[in-house]
Amino acid sequence: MKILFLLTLLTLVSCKPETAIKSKGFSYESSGISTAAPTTGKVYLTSPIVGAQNYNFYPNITLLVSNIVAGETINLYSDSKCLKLITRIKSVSSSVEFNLGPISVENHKYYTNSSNINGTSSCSVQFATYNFQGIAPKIAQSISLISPLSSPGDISTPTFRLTGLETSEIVSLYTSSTCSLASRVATALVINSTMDLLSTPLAPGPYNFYTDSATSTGNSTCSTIYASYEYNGVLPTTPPTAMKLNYPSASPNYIDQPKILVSGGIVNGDTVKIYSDATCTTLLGSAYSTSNNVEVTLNKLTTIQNYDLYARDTNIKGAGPCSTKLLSYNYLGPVPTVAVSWNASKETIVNRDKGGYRVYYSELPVTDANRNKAKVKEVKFNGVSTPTTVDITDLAVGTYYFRVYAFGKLDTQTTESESPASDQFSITLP
Amino acid sequence: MQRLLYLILIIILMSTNVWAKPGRRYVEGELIVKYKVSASSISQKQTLQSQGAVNLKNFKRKNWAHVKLSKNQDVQSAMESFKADPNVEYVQPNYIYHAALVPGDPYFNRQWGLKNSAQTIFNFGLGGPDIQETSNNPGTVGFDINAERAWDNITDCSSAVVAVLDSGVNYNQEDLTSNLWKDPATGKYGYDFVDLDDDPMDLNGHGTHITGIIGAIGDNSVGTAGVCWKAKIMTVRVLDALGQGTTADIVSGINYAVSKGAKVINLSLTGSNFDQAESDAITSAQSSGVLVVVAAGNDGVNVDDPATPIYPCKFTQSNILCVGALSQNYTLTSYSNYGSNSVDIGAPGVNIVSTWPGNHNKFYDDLTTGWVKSSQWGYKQITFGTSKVNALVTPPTYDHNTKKYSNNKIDYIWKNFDLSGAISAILDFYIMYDSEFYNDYLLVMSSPKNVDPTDAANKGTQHDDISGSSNGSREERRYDISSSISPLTSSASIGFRFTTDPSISNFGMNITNFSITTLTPSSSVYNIQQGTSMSAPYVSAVAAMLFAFNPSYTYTEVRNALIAGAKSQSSLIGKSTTAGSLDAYEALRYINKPSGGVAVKKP
Repeated sequence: MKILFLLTLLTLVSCKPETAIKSKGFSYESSGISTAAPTTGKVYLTSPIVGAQNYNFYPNITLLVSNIVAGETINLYSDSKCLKLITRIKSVSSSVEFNLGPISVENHKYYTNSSNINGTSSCSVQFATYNFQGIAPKIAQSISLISPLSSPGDISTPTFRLTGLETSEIVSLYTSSTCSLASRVATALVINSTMDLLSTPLAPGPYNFYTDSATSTGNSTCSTIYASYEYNGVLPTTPPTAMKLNYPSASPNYIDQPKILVSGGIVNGDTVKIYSDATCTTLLGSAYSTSNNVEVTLNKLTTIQNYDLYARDTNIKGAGPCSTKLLSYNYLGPVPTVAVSWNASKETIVNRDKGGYRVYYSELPVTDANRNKAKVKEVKFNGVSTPTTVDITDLAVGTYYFRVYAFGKLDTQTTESESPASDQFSITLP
Repeated sequence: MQRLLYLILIIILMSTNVWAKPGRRYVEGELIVKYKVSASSISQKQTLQSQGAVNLKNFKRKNWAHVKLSKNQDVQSAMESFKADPNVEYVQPNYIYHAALVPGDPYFNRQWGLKNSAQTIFNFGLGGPDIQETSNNPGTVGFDINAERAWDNITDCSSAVVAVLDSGVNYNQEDLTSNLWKDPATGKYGYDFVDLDDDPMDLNGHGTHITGIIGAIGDNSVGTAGVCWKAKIMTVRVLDALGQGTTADIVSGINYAVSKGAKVINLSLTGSNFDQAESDAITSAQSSGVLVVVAAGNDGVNVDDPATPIYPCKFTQSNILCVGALSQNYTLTSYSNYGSNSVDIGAPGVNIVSTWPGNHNKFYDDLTTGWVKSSQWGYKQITFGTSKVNALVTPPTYDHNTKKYSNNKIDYIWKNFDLSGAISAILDFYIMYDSEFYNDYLLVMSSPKNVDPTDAANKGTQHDDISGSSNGSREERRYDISSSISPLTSSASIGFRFTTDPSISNFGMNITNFSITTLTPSSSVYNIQQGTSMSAPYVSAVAAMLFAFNPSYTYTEVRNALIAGAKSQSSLIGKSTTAGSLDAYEALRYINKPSGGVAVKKP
């Protein structure tokens, strides 16, 4: 009660000066009804649309000032103290639009305040920005297929001629109408107004090719003109020549979906399939290639055995020849669960909120210096106790080293405490 | 206005039940919001409505609000949501502040070892007999055991009993009584192995001072604060009124403390001889899981040096922690023993203010009148150098090198003294003597009655038998006569009896500078003391704090935490095993390394 009384007293004391000041000007706050004092609106960029491609190359912009009252004069400034007036408009509603342009090449900021017969409101803290970067890069005037001479064709790397280019800009070809980076198939520095661009190898299928240009300030819009080409594809004739076990790093192992990098004889658009027999009959997995190699994740292995692995390329024209044995993978069965346990720390701070253990493990001995390279499992206080065991299920074959650190926090004013590392212990998974 | 706002914020925090949620940094379900200047009250209401929150308090500043979130809305996600609102300038949790615990004990500001604010330490008003050291006084801010931050976490060490093996305690001292352990078997405050009874009253002061350092009741508006505000301190009296003890008493005391469940034993006592029995007792304590904190000693020597060993500091049992003394500037004191292999840690050991058992009075007798004596004793003024000193002499014609005493005589001299009210008395005098060795001798005796204590019929207590020669120099003699003249009344008597045989006569003796120091108990006296004896109890107390904070701790883990938590001090480099000073907070923060790690493949 004493505290409440004191709080009340202090609150009253704190109110007194402000009450006195308000009584002189009869100032009060309420609702959205027109008030004697002018408002300070909020200024937003409404055109060009923020985030749209190329929007910083438009010299004409539109700003909207909202949260104002009809009848006020709305002032637009280029500085945060509202000293550099750009223009002003008398509002007829709760918002006004300013159309500006062409504007200078620079990063613009726009602030606002309002005036009426009672004076001028404070300068807005909130502001709008627009970074006008000048003239946009020049888009090609035309784009045409020059090799092969007609579409469809059997060439996976067609050539296109572009005209009307600006030298020193970067011109690119895309297979999407949005000129997305993922769809880019060619790019070159413009040295002549007409340039021939060779596409990277295509997968079989029909394509429309679009273009844009870029300078250091940004990209032009994606072209609306385009050229079309359909690549027929050719039957693969060369089988893959190499496989590499990407994951796990070694065989035999417990991993039931190993990842295998296949290379040799592969082109963009091929689907590479891996088999467990020399006639390429028993399929284990496949992947679509977008380059001259591809990582294939095998389907989940269920039989514990050694797998000899073969591969072949396929595309819409059919399947290529089966490779010789390129790799063996010995699947040992399900990944083992390794239970790591230790004695409970006796420190109170470990066995309460913010307390717990960190188990670091690695195929290399774990030290304080290198533990950031090791994997870690954190076990925290669960509201009742702090567990002293943890199951680890991501170990492959090999020897693994472990160290346990306990941690906790003494109080809210301090940083976390961490114990020295436990003695190192290990396990070898055969 | 900002100050006022801050004060209101604090009061709101205090009036909210946040203290019951340890470990939480802010109040769940609440935020502090500052709206933008441009946000009208309507906009603010709209913001609250959109967030499902309500106003708790406006702080009387229109852009500030103390907000209550909707049920099940956590603070972090609500903060993100508020931040995204265009009306909000910023938002923060309603943080919880903890008062840094500071005890309200009136002498706390003189306890630099707990909080060193570079204050000057002085004895004025304490009531004790000793005065402050002036060197390194004042010291340096922050050179202390970091007690305040530790107190934010624990002040009650009473679950871990600390045994103080020392001169006992004034168990009636106002700042100690409720923090003293009582033997469940007797209901008494421990045991007295000097007098072999269950009354360990302190007749010296040393033990009461140490007890207060460990566990003077904290924040009780009385006297001082102990490192532990609440404690259970077992009193085991092994030192007499002179501050002296024996192997037998100390070994008995250690065994008693262990058998009665002490977790920590404080030994602010030293000896220069290897003592196998004491070592064995400490080993026994080790096997019972008891930590033994010992003072390094006040000889200013290297304990590691085979020429200057100090025990028990030099014992090597792993349950021993040996403590050196630091000044108010955390320099190693000139008198503190040291040793890079034996002294473990430093702690405050100068100008330590703590509890004291009572008032000391020193009575000087001018040796000119009032002594009852037979014919061969007399009064005489003797010149030592340029000083003339009153003396009791035998023979009466004594001149130390020409007049010899008579043979075949028995002569006495005694006097009655009023010692009423005191609980202890120390007899102190100087003597220069020259008698036939063994056959001619002086007995020093006392009696609780107003009679000749040297008369066998009065059954006085003999304190000494002095014979031979002091070779022309004076020797100081001190005796604890407390128990021999107990109860101390107005009729206590002290006397000397000189007996000679028929053969050989020498030059006799003079007794000078005769005094009796008494201790009259008081419950409200405090005193300043110096020495490693004062350093050890700081460590003992923090050890108890660690045992209490981590109830499953072994002495090894407590010791590890004390050692690892020690704060590096350049003054201790090469002088101790840790080169560090006691830090209660860091010791509490320490986590021992996990053990017993094993990885097993599950079937």
